[in-house]
Amino acid sequence: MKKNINLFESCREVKWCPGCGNYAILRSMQKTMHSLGIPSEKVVFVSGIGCSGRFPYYINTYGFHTLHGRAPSVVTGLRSVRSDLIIWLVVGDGDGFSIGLSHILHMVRRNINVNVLFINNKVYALTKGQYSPTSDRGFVSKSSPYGSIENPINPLLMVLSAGCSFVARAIDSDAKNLRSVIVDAMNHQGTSFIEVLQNCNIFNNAVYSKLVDVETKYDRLLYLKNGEKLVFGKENSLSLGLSKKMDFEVCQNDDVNYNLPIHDTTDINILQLMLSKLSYSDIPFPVGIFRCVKHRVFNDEHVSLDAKSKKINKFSDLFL
Amino acid sequence: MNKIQVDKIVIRFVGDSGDGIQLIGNQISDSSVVMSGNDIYTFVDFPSEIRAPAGSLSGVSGFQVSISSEKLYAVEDKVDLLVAFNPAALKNNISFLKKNGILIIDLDSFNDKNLKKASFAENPIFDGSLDSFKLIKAPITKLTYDCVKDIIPIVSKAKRCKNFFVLGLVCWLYDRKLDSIISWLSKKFGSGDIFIANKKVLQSGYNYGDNLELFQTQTCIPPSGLYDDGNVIKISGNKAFSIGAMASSVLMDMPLFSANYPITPSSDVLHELSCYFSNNMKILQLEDEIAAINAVIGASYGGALSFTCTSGPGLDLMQEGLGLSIMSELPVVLLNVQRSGPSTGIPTKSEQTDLLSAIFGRHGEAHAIVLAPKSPVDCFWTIIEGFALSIFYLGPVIILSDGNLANSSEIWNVPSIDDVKNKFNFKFLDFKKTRLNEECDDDGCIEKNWIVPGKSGYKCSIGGLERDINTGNVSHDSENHFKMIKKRHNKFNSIASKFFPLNIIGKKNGDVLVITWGSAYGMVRSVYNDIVKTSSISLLCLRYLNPLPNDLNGILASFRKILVVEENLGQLAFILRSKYLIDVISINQVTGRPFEFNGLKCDILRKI
Repeated sequence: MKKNINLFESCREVKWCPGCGNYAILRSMQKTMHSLGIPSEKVVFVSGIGCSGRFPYYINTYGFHTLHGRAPSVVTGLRSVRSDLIIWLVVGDGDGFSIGLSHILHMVRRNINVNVLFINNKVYALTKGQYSPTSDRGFVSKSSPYGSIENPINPLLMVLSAGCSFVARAIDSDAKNLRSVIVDAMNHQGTSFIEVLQNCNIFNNAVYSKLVDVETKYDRLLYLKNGEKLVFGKENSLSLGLSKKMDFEVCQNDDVNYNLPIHDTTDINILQLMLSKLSYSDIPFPVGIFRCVKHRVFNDEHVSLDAKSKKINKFSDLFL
Repeated sequence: MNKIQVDKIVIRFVGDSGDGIQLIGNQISDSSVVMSGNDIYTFVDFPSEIRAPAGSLSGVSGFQVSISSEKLYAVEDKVDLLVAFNPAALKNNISFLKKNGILIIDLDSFNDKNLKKASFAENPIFDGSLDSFKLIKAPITKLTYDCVKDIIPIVSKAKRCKNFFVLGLVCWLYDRKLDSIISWLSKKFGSGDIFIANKKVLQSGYNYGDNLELFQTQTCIPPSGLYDDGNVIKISGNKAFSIGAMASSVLMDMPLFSANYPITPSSDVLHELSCYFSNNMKILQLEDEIAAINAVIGASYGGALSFTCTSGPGLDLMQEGLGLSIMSELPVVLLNVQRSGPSTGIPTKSEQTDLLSAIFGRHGEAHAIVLAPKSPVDCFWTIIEGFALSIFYLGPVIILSDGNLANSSEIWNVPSIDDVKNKFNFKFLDFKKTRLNEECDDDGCIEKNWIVPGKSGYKCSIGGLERDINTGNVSHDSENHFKMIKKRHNKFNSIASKFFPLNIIGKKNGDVLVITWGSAYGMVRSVYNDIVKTSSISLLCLRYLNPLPNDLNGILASFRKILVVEENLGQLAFILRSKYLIDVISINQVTGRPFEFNGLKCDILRKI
């Protein structure tokens, strides 16, 4: 039987390290785009610097490998003049949340209509292994030989606080969930932000192992579902409940002593912020869609300005 | 009343920002063009402080206009009439007034409180220090109030009309008609109390001069005859950039994009363009200059004419982006309105100190085209040319304006669309066909087209990494890198073939050639016109600074001595010496102000 050719596969050699989590992310992206039947010449991948920055070379679309941290600004300009393209922005934890932090937050608050693939491996990998702003306290690296003394920042909490209209999290090797949030992100109008937890097998191996090992993952992962309680565990018997002090606590999914909140992605609410604050060391750790709300996107605002603005109808109008 | 004729007068109004100085300055300027047919050249002088305390030395702002019966090229350094609304304004500006010049002061503002704020130990009106001027000391505030108290009884509001009293008086001194000012007032304020009050004050200021016969004669300036036909406007350098950017979009039939971060003295370009917004024109204010240049690169990638506008510190921040524009072969235009540096420097003052930074400011062998307009009107032509050259080059163009060009205005007989097309030759601007649709133009200069996403068959990835010279794929090969460095270098140098021929003013060869660039041209031209009658001297204003024009070498060889005049420590001189291995004599000044006529004249005469 003839193999179905994926139009998004590039003929270029992929040069990430063997075993890198990026291979799985790339494959999920290519498969999802192909299955949606999108014309590949209408898709642009724009990236910054870092291992994530190589993404545009490995997918058969238009691609622009830009500067460290500045890719959010590049897509802001590109989107302003081109409403016809499907734009993906690929950033890493160093690229997006160290040097490019301000550009990311301003792009999010403007609600530029792009999809963001934020690949978080909690380490500077392309510069050969220094701690990053998302590295855990105590993380030993070339530039923190005695363990990092800095607190990590929380990217999802930051973009949620900046008013991001679509926020999701997925894991590199969990193709089913990753492909599902990619589809939802593409359907969303406005900035769609996906954090993908990616394993760097060279400089930060097994950093997310407890979320992917078959032995542990069912007790650790909380798949967020709109309109449902925060249920998790192998038998779906556990839940996150709110204590009287308004803290999350793990309880049985029918425990009457707790308020068992319903996850609502369709408006901006405090529960989304609380869920994003749960860290990897917490049990459980949420993945899936945190928020998906309708907001006016930047290009629509442009249309409303058009109606108010002065006009150049003929050349001599320039000199009025 | 006797009238005497002069060729040129210069007026300077100074006071607090709330005194309405810019308004009356613009009115006397416009009226001189429209009603009296003169040429004018104006300059706005303002402090960094937005509203410094009233009457303080740091809050003084000014408006200066030269009115002439001949073509003007520059801001004058000495004035015939100084109007000082308070002691602080007098103190900061008295040095600009010629000996025997006319000084108008508002007597009511010369009280103890204001004198103290201006650090006057004695009242200058009475201590003899103003004896070398023709002093008109009138109780302007009181006269204004008396004139309008029936219409506007509130003292503080009535006092606001005092600028129109001064304007009326100045109109009497220089035999200007009030008609165009009155019709402007009626357009602005309708027929209500404010219109009636200001009109009455204006006329009463005029009559004050007439009745008191302050002088035996009125001075008048004959018309220039320069702008008798056609559509004439007054235009500043920054406004000319805005219009030129929009004109480029119309001429080239391409969308316009601009992303900016406000910075003095370039922000007026952003303000002007922000009023125009359409499907074809997107103007953004972003979070910083780094975002601005990268958004401009993104929009260029999208196929739009893209530019940003900034000043000194912003240029530093944008250099990284210009490197990406070179590597990814995307055309961008950067307007740098130079200001006094380094660092924050004196933000509202002007210099030409960014030339070397524009040419050499990036890491790697990273060439940017550098252009410099020579007058406010030339800013219009330069940005159109800048867009065209950036598309030929597929890389960055830096346009070096400065605070003086930005804030000076001159009179302009505006061009028609055919005038512009004829000047550039239409094919030169027809990029939609030649660049975006992969058709080669006859010049054969195009090796590679502008990569814009959306079309099937041209899919590729671009970026900042080095490319293989044949395949275009990423390459770290050292031999290939050297080839690519040379390829980019040649591509850059070939741009000089697109330049207009250089235009020498005066003899094409001989003893002395004075070279200048940017806003310094104005004063150099004025001095040149003065000394060319008695000296063997030619003048060349370089609008193309990188790469240097192909015909420059021959020109330099045709003169015995080369002088370079610029507002820095010799940056163009440095380039000319190193590129052509010739000696040049450098004339420099870095004061934040334009060259002064007499000083520059002496300097040039001494050195030729």
